[in-house]
Amino acid sequence: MTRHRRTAPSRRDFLRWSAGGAASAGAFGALSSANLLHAAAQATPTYRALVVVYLAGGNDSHNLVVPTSTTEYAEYLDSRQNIAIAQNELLPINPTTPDGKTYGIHPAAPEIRSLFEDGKLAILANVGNLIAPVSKAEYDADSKPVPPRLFSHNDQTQQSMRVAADGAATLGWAGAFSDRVVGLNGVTPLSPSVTLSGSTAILAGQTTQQYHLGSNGSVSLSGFNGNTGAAQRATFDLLRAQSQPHLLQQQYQRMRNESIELDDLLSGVLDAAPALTTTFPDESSFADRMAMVAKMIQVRSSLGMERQVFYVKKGGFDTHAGQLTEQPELFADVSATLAAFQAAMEEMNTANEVTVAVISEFGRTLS
Amino acid sequence: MIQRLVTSNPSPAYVGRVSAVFADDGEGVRGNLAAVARAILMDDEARDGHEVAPNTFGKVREPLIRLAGLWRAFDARAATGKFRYRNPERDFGQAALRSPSVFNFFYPSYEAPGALANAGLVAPELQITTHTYITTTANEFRERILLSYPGYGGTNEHTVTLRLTEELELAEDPGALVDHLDLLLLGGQMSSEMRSALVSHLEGTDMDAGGKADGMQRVLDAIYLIVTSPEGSIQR
Repeated sequence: MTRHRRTAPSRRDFLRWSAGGAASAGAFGALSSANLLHAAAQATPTYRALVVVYLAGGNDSHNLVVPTSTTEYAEYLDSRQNIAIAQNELLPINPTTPDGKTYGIHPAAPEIRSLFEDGKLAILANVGNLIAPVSKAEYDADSKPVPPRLFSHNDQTQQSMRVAADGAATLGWAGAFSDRVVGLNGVTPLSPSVTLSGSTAILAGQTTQQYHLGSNGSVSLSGFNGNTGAAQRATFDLLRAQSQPHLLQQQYQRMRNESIELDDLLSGVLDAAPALTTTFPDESSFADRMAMVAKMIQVRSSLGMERQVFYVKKGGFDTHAGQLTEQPELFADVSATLAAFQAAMEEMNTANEVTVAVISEFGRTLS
Repeated sequence: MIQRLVTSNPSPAYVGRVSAVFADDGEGVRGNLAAVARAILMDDEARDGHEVAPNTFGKVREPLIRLAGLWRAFDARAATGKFRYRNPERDFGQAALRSPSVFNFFYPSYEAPGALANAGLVAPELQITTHTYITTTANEFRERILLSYPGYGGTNEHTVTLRLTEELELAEDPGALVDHLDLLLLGGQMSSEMRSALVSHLEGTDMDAGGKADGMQRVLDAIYLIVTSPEGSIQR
């Protein structure tokens, strides 16, 4: 997550509200009154957006942020063995509050190092799914509750996305956020929740639902032209308006209608947006998605948006034995794309209004 | 397996009956999948579910299956003898044997928010029915129907052309045409409201509309409108 700045306390609040896990349950309770949020917004009527970047597959983050001080590096090397990164290849970082050890970033992620050094990127270490705080000793002794089905990708993914890691919660923490803030947006069919990577549990809300956007923007229905097109469209529209007693048909119809309504809204707005000078990396579908997020942020006023949360997934992090060759490519893509996104935000003067949170369902054991 | 073949929300009893056949196919054999498939398809719940639970029985049809169904229904063929479709995942969110992970294209437990989730019902296939895919799928079906008829000027060796002989014979009788397509595409379960709208549409379409002869436009319109309709999206 991007480090908060002392000049923007509401931003710190935003981070606290949007953080998942047991620690924030109290914060949600305190914010159950929408009136409280309205009052806060009037005091500071600025835009806020959260972009959740999900590294799917369980990223071995011990290989992204690596200790370089002698004792600690030796421990790392002992654990990671033949897939360890060479000490002299790591890119050193200088935290403002040193802890007596030194660290470096994976050589394939120089932009991440730069962003950190510029105070634009923060590293949250030792974060994971929890029911309650638990130490290693307590874990080994089985003396504290832990989330069910640890080490299972789909379970840990779901738990990392829900408001609780108990395996039963159905509300996504970002969806819960959207539910709270939707009233701050203008009258618009567009949800605060936008996913660029398909249906996601993180945006599962009670009153809000996620809108699915492609990396090329919204897609329009094609055809309905020529002499026969108007009549086709009229009957097509009739059928998608007929009442549907069957629940599955009803839901399909709703998606159909929402898709058309939102395409009508978005395509004009997105097409009219002037191109940014910032360019995103080529040949990266992750970069394409982040570029579309940047574009959506660019047109936020035309869409009546005050609060938004975006979701973008990048897969491939279940690297196993291929880690030495695969992780560098993955990190390079994430690093370059995050840098481009930061540059785009700065170009639009929204860098202080947008936070990117990069998460993964779990890290990897140091054995 | 029941979810893939029959209904997204089978009763526990239905699941139990099928599980019993998996455990013992009646001749002491465990894991006889042919017997299991038969048990799934022939169970009373499979056969009467649409009457017993008319508003919840059934499943959303996956786009790939719908396309295959379209081709089967109209005996479609390309000159090459093959069915070429390089990147279905771009339009459908799925492609044969190209699931993004071992967890298939959608979870068996996916709950679409709203009335379905409130009723405690799952609808796995809706997980890939996003605002984007629902439109790209309709656009793909437009090409596979409205631009895949015998005599279409843009036909090439890869075009999978629908054979529409039987349908053209009914083109002069909109009611009969719709009833025929209802049977082929909706299992005879089309609502009277939808039937009405389609018959009206066909009656308002000339036999030589769209520059095509013999009521071809009527046939194509009817198929396209059914396939992209909410009723056309599910199997029950």
